[in-house]
Amino acid sequence: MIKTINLRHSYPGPDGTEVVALEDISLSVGAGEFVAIIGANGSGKSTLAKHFNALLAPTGGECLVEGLSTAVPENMWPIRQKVGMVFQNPDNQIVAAVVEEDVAFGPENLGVAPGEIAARVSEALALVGMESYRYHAPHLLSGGQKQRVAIAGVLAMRPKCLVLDEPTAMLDPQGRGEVLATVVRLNKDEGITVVYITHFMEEAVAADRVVVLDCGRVALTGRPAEVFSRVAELKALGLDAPLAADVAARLRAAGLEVPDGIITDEELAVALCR
Amino acid sequence: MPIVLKDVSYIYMPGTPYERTALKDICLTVAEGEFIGVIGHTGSGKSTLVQHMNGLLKPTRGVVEVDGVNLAAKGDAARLARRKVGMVFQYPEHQLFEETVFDDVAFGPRNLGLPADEVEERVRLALDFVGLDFAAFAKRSPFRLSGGQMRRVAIAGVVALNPDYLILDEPSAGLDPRGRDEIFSEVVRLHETTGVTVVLISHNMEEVARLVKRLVVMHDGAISLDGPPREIFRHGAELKAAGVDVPGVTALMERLARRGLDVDAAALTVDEAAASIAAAVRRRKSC
Repeated sequence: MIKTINLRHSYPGPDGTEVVALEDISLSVGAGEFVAIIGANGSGKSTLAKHFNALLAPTGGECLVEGLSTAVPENMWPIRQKVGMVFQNPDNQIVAAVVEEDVAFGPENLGVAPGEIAARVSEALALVGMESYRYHAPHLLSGGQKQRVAIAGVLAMRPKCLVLDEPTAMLDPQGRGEVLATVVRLNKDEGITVVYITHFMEEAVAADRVVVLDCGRVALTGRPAEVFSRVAELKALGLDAPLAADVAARLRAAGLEVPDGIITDEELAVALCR
Repeated sequence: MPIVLKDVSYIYMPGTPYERTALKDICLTVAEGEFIGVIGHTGSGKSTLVQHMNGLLKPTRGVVEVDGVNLAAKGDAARLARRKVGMVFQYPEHQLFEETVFDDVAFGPRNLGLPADEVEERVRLALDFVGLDFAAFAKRSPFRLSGGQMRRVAIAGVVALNPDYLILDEPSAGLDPRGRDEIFSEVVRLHETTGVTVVLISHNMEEVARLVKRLVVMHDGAISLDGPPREIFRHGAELKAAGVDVPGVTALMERLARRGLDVDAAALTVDEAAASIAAAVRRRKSC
């Protein structure tokens, strides 16, 4: 679905020197995969995400979306139809005064026929569980609801891939749960490829694969169980491990026998309460 | 002297179809020197509550007093009382506007009409409190800093006003784990060294549980629980009703206890949890 080959992104800094935001990133995201990207503030996560739908072009190497290079201007619109972006702040992504109009904004701009738009809006709102808010005013919704409307607005354009850049950063625990559950369902049931950037390690546990960025480079990558078992390395990178992995590591350090690869509370409970 | 809310109710957009009661008969006293956490689901009234504490919102019914002065009153006494309460909003870095870090932090003290040397002294102290080196940062543009640094500059701007009460609305939102730790430890240090009263709104239950001595849970515009964190987190059912999660550590310990492991459900930190689990497993093995 998405492939980067030795991708590099740099820009001129305030004093004229080159600032390198991404260096030598080679990744691939398979169709239908759920990939989480984690990393400290300033590690290059958002910069990388912006390459995935051609908001930024590489200054070195390549970024390909279904074989189309993001560096070629003619590819920009086809790529953006394949890859939809959801950002951190739902208030910055909502444009209309009624939920259904907001969701219809994308397909309208694609020139979709009106009857088809109505069908897509219904479908997209159903996918995020917001059908009953169709005629509501978005600004009176909760943060989690707004973010689900923003996701519906992207889904109405029928992308194959969703790139979500810290979609839960501004939400409360309940809103976070709603958004993550929606994204997981879109991935598992609808087969939509997901790239999910987050600071919440508990959310990254839901992914098929985790990519850890540090200072613009890939520091670790692997299944969540592999990546999150490396508690000390994660902490050195300014990140946390999920609680269960952290506790498991401490128990091992205290001399208890705890199996490797524990990252959820349930796994820890099963291991300890045999 | 405390902040006292007496039977405070607040109604948004009264007389319109959107009328909504955001606060219902709130009685709350924030004593001087306290460190209080406020948690609650979005829409529970947390932000509305704290915006009453410095007079940004005037109660529809009831009275808010700071150091015995009614904030809704006219005149100098009320204005001075409102000034004692510094408020750090959500995403305070969106409010940065000056060309240099120094000017941004100095904006408040200059508006108080302080002489230049005292302004500089306050800026130095404030930047020091938020862990930014004066020499390295004072001349830089606040817009060329990292998210965590911008957040700290914005907090310094409020600290520079020398408030007696400091209210922080979600100061860690959007920061990475290290940034979260830094902001929280700076708030604790400020509280411990200056004795400033702190009211902290947060969704981060782990942090709230670890930091504060008193926790207020808002639910549907009312206070549903009020007490020390360890006690609050035992009320799983009420917290669930309020749409608030217990801290991860509490959830893990409860899960283990349900599976028959004899662990201390009141553990709040990862260290306490690990020690309690290790002890429980060893006890079981020895019998």
